[in-house]
Amino acid sequence: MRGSIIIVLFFCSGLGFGLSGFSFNRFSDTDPSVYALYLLMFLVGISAGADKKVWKITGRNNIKILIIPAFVITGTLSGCALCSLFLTEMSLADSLAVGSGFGYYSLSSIIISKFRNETLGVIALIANISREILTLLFTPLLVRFFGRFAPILSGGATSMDTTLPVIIKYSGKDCAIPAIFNGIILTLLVPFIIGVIYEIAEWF
Amino acid sequence: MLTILAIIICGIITGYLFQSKLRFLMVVERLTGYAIYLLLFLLGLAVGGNEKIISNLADIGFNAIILSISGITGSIVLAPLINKIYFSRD
Repeated sequence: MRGSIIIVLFFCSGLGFGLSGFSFNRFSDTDPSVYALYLLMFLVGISAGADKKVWKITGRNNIKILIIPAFVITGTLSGCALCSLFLTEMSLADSLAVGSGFGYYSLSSIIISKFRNETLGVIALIANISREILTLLFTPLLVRFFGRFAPILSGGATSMDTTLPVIIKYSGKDCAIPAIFNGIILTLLVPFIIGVIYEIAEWF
Repeated sequence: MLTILAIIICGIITGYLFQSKLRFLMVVERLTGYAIYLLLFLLGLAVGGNEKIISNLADIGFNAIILSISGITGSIVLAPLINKIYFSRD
């Protein structure tokens, strides 16, 4: 939780500077933050590749544990695709990309703001923070009406850290391992899925 | 887009090769944190200076929350099925 607050504070202090008229554009014409993004993607890749747990589960034929993230991806993308029919100002690709944050708001908003524009980056930020907050608030109800696995699915990538305590409390201790794996797999897939969505969208 | 995917794949290969270099991985983790802070600060800066976003914040927030609820709903309707799959064999 502390990490989330720090991240939001960084965004908000940037917002404050921006509102008061401060801008880097005075110093340079090109956007230097693209290189920071490339560096970030490289670093995220290293963490993923060095993660022994991931190689272990994908190496063992432990398919069952991969079902939960697969359902999160299918469910979220279907929900967002349906939603884009009603939000006329959002294209299908943009709706899918925002959904593909799966709650990982820091990375997804950064990538989307670079691929598309800042407006969509802010939508991704708010949508994915909401995913975390809604899961924290509604976990007891989700467990009651949709079963013990519902908060893991709802939490998406956050099920391994920020929403894990409530998941354990209301779904039971035996849900901790599936929740952590679900979070790890989705976290790794976020940049990939957003990249693939926009790559495919370019063909049309 | 392909640039980004290629960079991630290079990172994954590097990470896989340096799996046992714990000190290196700690530095990577710390740098990841700093890069995220910097980029979100810059995103905030760009948004704050963009009048179009600030004046449409209510619409933007509405779209975001609707998308969030749709994603969650799409995911949880499949939850009862997972219960069945997980506890079918035992």
